[in-house]
Amino acid sequence: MAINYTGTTRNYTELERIQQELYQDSKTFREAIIDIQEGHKSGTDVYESKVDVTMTALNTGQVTATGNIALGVQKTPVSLVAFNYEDIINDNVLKGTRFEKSMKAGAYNVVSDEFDKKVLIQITPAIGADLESKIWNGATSATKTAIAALTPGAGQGSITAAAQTAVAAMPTTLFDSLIVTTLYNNSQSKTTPGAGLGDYIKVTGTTITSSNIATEYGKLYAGADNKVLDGFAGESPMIFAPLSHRKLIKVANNAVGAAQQINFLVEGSGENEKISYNGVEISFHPIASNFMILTLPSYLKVLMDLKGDMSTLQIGQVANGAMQRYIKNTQAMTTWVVNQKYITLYGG
Amino acid sequence: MAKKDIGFVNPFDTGVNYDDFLASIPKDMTIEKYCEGNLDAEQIAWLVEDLKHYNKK
Repeated sequence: MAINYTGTTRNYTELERIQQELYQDSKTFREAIIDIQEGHKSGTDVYESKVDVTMTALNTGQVTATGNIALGVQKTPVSLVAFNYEDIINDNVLKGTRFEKSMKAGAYNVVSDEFDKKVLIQITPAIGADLESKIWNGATSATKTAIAALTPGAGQGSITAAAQTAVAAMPTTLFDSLIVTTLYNNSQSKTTPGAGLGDYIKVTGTTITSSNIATEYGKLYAGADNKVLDGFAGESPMIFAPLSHRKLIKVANNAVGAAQQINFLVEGSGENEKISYNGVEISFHPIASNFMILTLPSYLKVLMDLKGDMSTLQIGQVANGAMQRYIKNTQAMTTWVVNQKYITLYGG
Repeated sequence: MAKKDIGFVNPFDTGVNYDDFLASIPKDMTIEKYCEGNLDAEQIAWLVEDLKHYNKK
């Protein structure tokens, strides 16, 4: 006898795992590669010092004011920027999905325990990934205007026209990225204190491909300060490079045949992989493809209120009986650079 | 690199910006010609590329 069925069909099983987006969270914060300073609410003073001494022939008489020991201290006030990620969600739209099964009985209850555990939990990694991007790539509209107003040049002490173009093309953000802070800041410790071009060592850059990547890293390395390459106080220099360089380096290193030249040392694989150039470890971040930095990592700083703010979500029921929830993440931070004359900026 | 013109404004010198450099180029002379003998080929090629960004402003 034939079966006579009327109605729609549905699937009775589902893949248990909900495939997540690929969030790289924030390598900078996770691994604390650079100097992350907490405990600052709205702003902080950054002090830098320098002592110059001059040797003179022995004086057996009374010491007089010679000016041979010059002690300098400069203070730069740095303001933090407060920002948030916030929204309202309406859990009611989850009715009729797999998440309905984990809603409590009662028509008013539409919050799904499974949704919170498997989807909502991804908010903080997404915030981490967004922060990682903004720490390394982006400029405020004010800084974009200021950099666009500079007269470019090819030599040290001038920004290249290509760098100006690159900054103009960066995402407009609420605080300047480390690359942009290196390019332009109002430090009182610069040769010319106050708002203006940074004191970085400039290495002119070009479009990097697998064919020229070894040559261009060579320029960055050669341009770096000798004392930085030597390391200081137990700290080793590091190259901060765009994410895309990892791939280009591998392609360059693995050229087949006579063209092969192993210019980069690749150790390990996957998450544990370390790549270095002439003994300087490379750390890959979402940096615009035109730029690289070589310096001692502690000279690059993120100043913030509390590191834990990154993963703290305020979640609650919207008032007055609304069947909605609010989600809010609040943070305060900014980037800063010190000892700028020891920061080599490729593409600056 | 052998030739060294008197009065050549080297754009790679500290403190020289593109306004200074471009103003120093005689009329009807190309950047390449002006820099020939004063900068190496790689510097000239880089300069020409960077000035394309500058001229777009």
